[in-house]
Amino acid sequence: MNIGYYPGCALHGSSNDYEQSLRACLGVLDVQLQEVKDWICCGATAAHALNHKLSLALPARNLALAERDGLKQLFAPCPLCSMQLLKVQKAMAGNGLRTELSQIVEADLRGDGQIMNLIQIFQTVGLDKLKAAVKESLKSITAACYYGCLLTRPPDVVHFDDFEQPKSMEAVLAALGAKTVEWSYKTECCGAGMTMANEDTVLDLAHKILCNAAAHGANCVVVACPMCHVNLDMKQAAVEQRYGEKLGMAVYYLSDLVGLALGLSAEQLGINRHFVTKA
Amino acid sequence: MMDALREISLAEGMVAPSQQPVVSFQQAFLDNIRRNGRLAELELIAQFKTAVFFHTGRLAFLFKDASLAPQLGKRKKLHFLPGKVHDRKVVERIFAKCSNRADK
Repeated sequence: MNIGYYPGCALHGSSNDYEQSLRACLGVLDVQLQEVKDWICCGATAAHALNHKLSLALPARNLALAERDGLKQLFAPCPLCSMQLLKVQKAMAGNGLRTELSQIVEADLRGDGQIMNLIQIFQTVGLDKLKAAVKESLKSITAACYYGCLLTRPPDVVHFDDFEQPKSMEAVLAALGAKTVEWSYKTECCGAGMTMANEDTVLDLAHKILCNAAAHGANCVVVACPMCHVNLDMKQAAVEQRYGEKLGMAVYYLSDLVGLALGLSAEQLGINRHFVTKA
Repeated sequence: MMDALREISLAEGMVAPSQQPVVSFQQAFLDNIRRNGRLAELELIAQFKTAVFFHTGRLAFLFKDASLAPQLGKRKKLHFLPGKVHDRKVVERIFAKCSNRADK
């Protein structure tokens, strides 16, 4: 399967372990990623917060570039990037914004491509095929699947899974032989892009999420978002210091666990580059 | 509606002092993209910390989290020369066409 790929800034920056993980994992599943040429930042939370028109124009440029490259399906592994692309498609549907945005981004826009997150990639591969490809059943894993804010919300934009009680990540892990827990924080916010600007809030939210996962019997948290990983993994030592508790909760990207089940090593997946590591 | 109210309040300069770092971060972020096309993380950190220092005079803020740098370096997560966009002029033009008072 050949699929368009919009990595976004985080995966080419400090979350490059996520890109390593998904490239290794999808390579085994025979999914080839065709990166959008000369893609630009989607504007992330900053554009959303400060300039509505810009928050549409920046992802619209990427949609236009993907369309120029003939990419009918576009995989955006960061849920914020993915949501921004879907938001533009929604804004263009049925009104005059298509013409205005095409003029702003200096390229014709159709907005008819399919935007996909990581879970949807595995669904497209097929959970039965995934199950058949498992070499190392993940019996020792009891995961708290953490969706965060944007994998399922806003529901009228992303149209993916149940926006309050999603189950799609659990289904992928079940195919790998892993157990999952029912817990209370799977769609709560981790503070996302506030990591630097409002660290107190991020540490408080991350503490609640990690403690709730542990209280429900999870031995790891699984994410499909680079910012969620930063806040729960990289900031975990700061959480422990602030609250005087040892958490030691491993935080995996979903592609890490799929890759391990497919027989890849922690080094091949970049798990050894996480901050919290567990045997 | 909240987005519109936030944009208006920012344009009018009505930012609570406690939230100024958040606005400074977002403004630095957009300025970074305008110039580079993609986010240059280290440059953003320098821009943001300098902006907060000038707003608050808190010298300690400049060095906050500095201990993370070697740990990020060890994990190959620091990029001194991030990938650049070939057609950066079009990014500048997109910003110019969308310009408002809140993102400055």
